[in-house]
Amino acid sequence: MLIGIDLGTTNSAVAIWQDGEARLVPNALGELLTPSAVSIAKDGQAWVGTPALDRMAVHPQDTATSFKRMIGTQRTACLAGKEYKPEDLSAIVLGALARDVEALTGEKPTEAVITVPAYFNDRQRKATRRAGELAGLSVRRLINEPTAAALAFGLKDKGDREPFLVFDLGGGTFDVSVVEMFDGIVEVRASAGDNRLGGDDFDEVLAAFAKPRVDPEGLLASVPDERREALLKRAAETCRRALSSASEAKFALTIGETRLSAIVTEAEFETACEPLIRRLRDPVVRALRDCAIEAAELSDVVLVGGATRMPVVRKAITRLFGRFPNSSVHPDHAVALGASIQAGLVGRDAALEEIRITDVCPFTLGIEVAENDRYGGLQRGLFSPIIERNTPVPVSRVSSYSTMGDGQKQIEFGIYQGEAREVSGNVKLGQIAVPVPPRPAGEVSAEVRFSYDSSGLLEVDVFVPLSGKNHNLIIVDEEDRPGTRDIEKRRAALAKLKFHPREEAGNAALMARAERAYEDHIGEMRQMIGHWITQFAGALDTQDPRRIADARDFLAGHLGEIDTSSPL
Amino acid sequence: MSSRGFPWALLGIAATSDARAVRSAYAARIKAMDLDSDVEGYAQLRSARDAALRLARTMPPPGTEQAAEPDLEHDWQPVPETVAPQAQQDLPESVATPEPLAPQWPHGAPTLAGEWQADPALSARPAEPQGDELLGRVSPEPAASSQTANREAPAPGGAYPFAVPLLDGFENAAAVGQKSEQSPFTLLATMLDVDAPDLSPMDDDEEARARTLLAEVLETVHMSDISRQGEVETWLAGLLANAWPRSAPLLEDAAAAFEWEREWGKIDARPAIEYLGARLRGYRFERKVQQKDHRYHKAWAELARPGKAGPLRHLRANGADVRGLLAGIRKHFPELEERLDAQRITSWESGNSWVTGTIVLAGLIILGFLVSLGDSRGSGPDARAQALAATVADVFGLPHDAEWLRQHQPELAAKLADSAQFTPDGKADLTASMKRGLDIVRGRAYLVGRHLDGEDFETTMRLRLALLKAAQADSILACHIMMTSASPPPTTLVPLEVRGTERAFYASLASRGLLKVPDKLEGSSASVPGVLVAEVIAATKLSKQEVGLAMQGKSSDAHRCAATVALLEATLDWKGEGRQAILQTL
Repeated sequence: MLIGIDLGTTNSAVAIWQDGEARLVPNALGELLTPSAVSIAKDGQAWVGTPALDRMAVHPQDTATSFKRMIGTQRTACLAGKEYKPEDLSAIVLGALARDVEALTGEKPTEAVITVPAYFNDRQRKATRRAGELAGLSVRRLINEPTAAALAFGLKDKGDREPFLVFDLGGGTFDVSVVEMFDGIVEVRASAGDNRLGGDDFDEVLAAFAKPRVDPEGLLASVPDERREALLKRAAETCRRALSSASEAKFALTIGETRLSAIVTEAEFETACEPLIRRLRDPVVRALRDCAIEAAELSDVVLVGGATRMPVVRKAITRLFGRFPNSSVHPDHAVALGASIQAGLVGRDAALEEIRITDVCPFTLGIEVAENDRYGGLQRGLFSPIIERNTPVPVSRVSSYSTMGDGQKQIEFGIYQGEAREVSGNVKLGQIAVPVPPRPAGEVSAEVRFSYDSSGLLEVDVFVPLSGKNHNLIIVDEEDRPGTRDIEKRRAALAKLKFHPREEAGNAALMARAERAYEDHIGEMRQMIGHWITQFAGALDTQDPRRIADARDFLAGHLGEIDTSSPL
Repeated sequence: MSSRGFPWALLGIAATSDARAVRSAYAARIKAMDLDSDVEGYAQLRSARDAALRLARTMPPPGTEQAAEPDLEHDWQPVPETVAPQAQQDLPESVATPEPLAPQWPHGAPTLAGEWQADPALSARPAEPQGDELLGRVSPEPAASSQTANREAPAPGGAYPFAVPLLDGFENAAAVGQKSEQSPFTLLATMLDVDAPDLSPMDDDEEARARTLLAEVLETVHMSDISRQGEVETWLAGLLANAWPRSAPLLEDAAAAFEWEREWGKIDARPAIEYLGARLRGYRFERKVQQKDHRYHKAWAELARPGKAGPLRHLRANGADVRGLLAGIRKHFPELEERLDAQRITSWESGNSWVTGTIVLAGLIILGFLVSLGDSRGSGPDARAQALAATVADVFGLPHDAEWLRQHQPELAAKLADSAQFTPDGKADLTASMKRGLDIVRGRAYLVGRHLDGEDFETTMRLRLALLKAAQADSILACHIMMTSASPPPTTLVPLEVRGTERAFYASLASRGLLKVPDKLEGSSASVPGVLVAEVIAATKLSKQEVGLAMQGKSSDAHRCAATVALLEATLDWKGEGRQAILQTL
């Protein structure tokens, strides 16, 4: 079975293509969105989604969020004393989503289409694909998030559409795509983005702004790092959400028995966000310039991604485009739905026979070269593009290069991605050394072929006509090629984690939520919550379904009441 | 007729002016193919569609078709780029790539934000060609600069290309009660008018007014949509570029408002913005270097003084700094050389001819620069013999003499004789001759020695370490010169025991006839195991990342120098696999 997954920075979702339509699959708690959060206790007990997020308040050292921002890097997260790579944590989320599908359909999914930000580089894409494999899913296709959203938007009525712009500001990444539809062909004309800009950055800005105000005495300095981060992050998130519907909101957090809070106004938040807002412009300009479409020609500006709900972002968009954006697609659901449509396409579903999608490669790919400059010097580290950005994919391009040294025995090709003229400003994807017959400088040439497939993965071939040899490049990057055995090993390690059985997941989540509420409150209220927790734990111990159900309703009801009246 | 050729045949339709028909045909074709298995076919279909759409736009509506057709054939058939996009990619003869983009900007900005760091490649670039280029560039000629400023709308004759669309566009001004003549756009343009030859720096009042006007302009940008922003951006970039250097104080704000910094150093940076980027960084550097604590402050102050530098110049500035400063601004901000005194620069440079003769290549050593350029006119054979005797004695130590060298290495003896140096009155310049001779022998010994085995290899590397350390103690530049040329500059004090080892080793190599011109000169690379990296980190106190960059030759000379010395030292005491390969790269 083939499923479509939106693996987001903040939230993830899974959808299936069934009976001619895309359909989101709820998780064990009945939610359509599963927060991309993982919490692992010392004993190997693991939580995914909302309960993991709740555990963040109580056990920050066990819990990881926003790990998508680290994917494709060497950074790891330490949970309960064990190191996890971002792709391990992503795999845990993917696994949870796959189990949700299995629970709904009774069939275990084996293949997936996973979405990635359009501006994800080759390393980030490969790491995402590995995460899928670790979760036991064969990744049939990686699809760009704005493209998926465009599919979901465009296929609502399957009619033709003049170019429209998908503005996708997620939790950690920002993408812009210009897309048009004609006769069932969904064509991405250009994409641009910033893979380091998202809702998380707005939270950070808000936290940095509010911190001195909420904590003038520097109490937070005494709190351990992880915990402080977790506290500030959650306070910022809550405050930011509240600012979406009110002109001012409380930024509040609890440290031990002390409660800190301060008011932040909408205007203050807007001013603090100004530098981030300014960064929204450049990708829009680049995407439009690359496909030579004027902003005024766009038929629509479609908003995708949770962060586009922020009034400050909407205001900026309205100003940039001189019109109101289209918010007819659900900003959190569109990407997953689009992924499942792509899954239907990959599976050649009959209902999608008349639909085709074509995408572009949003960045330039090329190699490092040296050049003789006009003063007789040698300029090294220059970037020679082979595939220009926003070329339609799949694509295969060849360029020829020749040796610079007499008797040179090999040519080293550094493979880079980016837009900077000097390779030091670009992302290095790998390197290959090709032996060549020694000849005077310039007499040996090598043809470098770059092939970029529909999933956005790159393959490099180097052909040396003089020796008649072809070298296929598997990108030389330790991270990039763990053997099948390593993947198996890692998968086995992850399989040791224990998850709550589906029927108990609700209870576990409620317990985590109650513990978080306990941390959030002080005084009598805290004692009361403590009391409820003991009661609930006692009920769980009896294993009597009726008593458990009663205790659960009781606790959930009270927590609900607290949440609605809470200043948080 | 045309319907049979490209692009119509590929789309399977007759020539048409109906864009919808073209797109439908494309859609039908693409549904019939599997993109992933027919990449080439897809590329062809794309280009056919794009070409057809362009043709369709220029075609007359149905009915008049026949009359116009021949013309179209004529217009469109010879456009090869759409037919075979592949062909363009192949550059069989080129060394690497064609000219960089926007070749009219030879001072194209480096990716370093802010100011440059001392760069390995710049310690020895001949100055003259750049100087000449430079004069043409900074002179505020309207014709030259309007070409620079606006790629889209080149304005022949230096006419001011932006005034008209801009006034039209500025309707907001009227709305807030301003007359359009008084819009900040017009006023700013007037202040920076390119037609007026007055490009003198703005005085304080003017600067304050210009800044206010710019702020008003930017304020309107802030509130307007993306198309309008684009117009103003292009206009402003053109205006500021045309008015450089008068516009200098305004660059920072304008660059921040449009985030021009993101565009600098990009392959497709717009010329006016790239130009402003290079200027702005130069401007920033100029302001920084005038502060007392700047590394090159003294050198800058010295070179800015009018008149020739006297013999006591070394008291006022460090020679290495002066060279570093000159090399740096010539590479990155050539226009700044104008701020310095030409005569003074000349007097500093003439005293340092050993630098200008060096061609430095990162990671690759070329022996060529050691070839003597010595002028032998007017000097007698005695003077030459005298120079050679002194050189041999100095390089190989007594009792070795020229005769001994001729016996074992006649070619080297001839070479050393050739490179003898003479004073203007024809006498042997012994110091200079010995220095040149030593450079030659050191270079050869190192290049040969790193491919030898056993004790010879060890000695080569230990000597290199000792020389590097001596150079490091002298200055960063000396270390840099040592790293790239195998011989430190004369300012470096080499300890006597090192000189002793050197003499014995060189004599031993020469007596075996090994000090030949090495026949292979390739760069090499090796991977460094973590244990050595850790030692380098411990010894240099640099961060892991800094060490990594230094080892790839991407960081400052100071870091590279420290990392090289530390790695050489650590590797020499280490016995692991790949030791020799690592040492050979150092």
